[in-house]
Amino acid sequence: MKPYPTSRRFLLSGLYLALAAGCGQDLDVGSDVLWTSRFEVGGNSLPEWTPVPFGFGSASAVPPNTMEVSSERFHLPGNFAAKLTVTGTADNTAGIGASLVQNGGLPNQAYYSAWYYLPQSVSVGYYWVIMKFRFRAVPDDPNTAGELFDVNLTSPSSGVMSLRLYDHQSAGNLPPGDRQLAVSNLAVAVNAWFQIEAFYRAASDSTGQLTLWLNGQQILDLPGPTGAPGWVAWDVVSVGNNLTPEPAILYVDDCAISKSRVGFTGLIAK
Amino acid sequence: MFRISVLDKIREYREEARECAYRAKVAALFAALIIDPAALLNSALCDQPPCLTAPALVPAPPARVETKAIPALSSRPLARLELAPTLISGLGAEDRAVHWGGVLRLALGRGRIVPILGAAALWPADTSIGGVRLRQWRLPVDLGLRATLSGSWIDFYGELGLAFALLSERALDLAVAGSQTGMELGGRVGLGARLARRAGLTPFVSLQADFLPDPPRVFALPEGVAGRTPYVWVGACVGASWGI
Repeated sequence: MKPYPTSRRFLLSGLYLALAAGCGQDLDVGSDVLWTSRFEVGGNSLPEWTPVPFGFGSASAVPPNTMEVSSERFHLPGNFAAKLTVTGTADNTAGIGASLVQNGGLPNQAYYSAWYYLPQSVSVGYYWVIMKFRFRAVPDDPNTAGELFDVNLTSPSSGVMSLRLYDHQSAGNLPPGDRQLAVSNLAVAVNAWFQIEAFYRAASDSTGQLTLWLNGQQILDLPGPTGAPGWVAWDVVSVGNNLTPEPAILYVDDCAISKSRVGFTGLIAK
Repeated sequence: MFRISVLDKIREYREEARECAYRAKVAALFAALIIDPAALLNSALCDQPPCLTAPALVPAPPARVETKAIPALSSRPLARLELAPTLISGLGAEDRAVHWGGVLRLALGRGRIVPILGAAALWPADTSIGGVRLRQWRLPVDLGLRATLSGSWIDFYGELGLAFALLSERALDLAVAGSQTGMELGGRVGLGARLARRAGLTPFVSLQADFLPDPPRVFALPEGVAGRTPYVWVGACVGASWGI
């Protein structure tokens, strides 16, 4: 068989190259993701949380509670997740647990997403907070900090887990307490990853907003005053009181703060 | 109309362009056909020239031959250069971008089917794909064949070929906005018409469409693949064609 002349081979190579280059390329035009924690690097030092690009962050667990990076469960793509173990002893003091905290310096409005995994159903005697927002009345004054919204796991019946939102600072004339979710009989999966995403806008007037999604389904839309612009804190935590059985284990993975919604199918890294 | 007379044979041709070179060629060809080479050979042998052979002694009546206007191949320009302002738009994008610019195309050869090479320079335009606002810039190049159907007043042509383009997309609203350039590859069809003039400048109008089977995907976090750039680009231009 006669070999192709050099010029024809060159021409064919060019054509193949053009065909390959012209077929279904991905044009990466950027990202609306401001910060992520996928727990894939740094092990238990949790470098994605400390230091952080948004002011002060922290990762801590108050003994006997523990927090570690684990490969027992992980949300794909990836090989690791944070394992938060809390004893949840009855009458545990509020705030004792395992906390991943983004403190201050966050955008005045953003989307906050985290994936959770419950290896077993847990009976919640009092509360089990897994995500929360805090505020400052005066952004530069730490003494004006306060609790704002808590996303809680609940156990409405044996073996069934659900969510509730506790509002520490009521809007208008409403007293502090639970806010009605838009979905009744909301069930949170056990032994499966689920995503909670929040849109939070800090504002002292009616333009403030908190919106929640569970696995992409909107479950709450709460307009109204939130915290003063200029200081936002977001915590991914496992803080429980009167949890059975104990210790209660919660895995957390793929946390993100973004300018647009991650959603159930979104990506936080390429 | 012009008349050629050689050895009492007369023929009239229709030729409206009044091109002297073309008429001279036709006259030379007519003369070569009229003159009998055998008669020339015999004349060399006779004593008192001119010696005309018997058939030549019978003068043929002046013939008036109705002829058709024959477009001579050689009268077509060797190359045709076209320059025109153009607008090109992608079909399927949620926020349709219209790119303005200029197009330059070269058709090479005198035949009815000739190769063509074209390129366009376009201004960037803003568009949106999958909710991602983008500034889009495109540099298309095409290579193909043109088949021309000549008429008395208007020449029509169709084109078929390959379309290549460099396509650059830059995000406008993302928190971390980036830009990336890719390549499009597909087929191109075009239709056009121009005033039938053999040489010099003549106006033309054309429509074209590029079909891309696998256009680039626009990727942005956290959405992932936001969508594809258009599968079909359509364009139109009106300009001047220069026959060389």
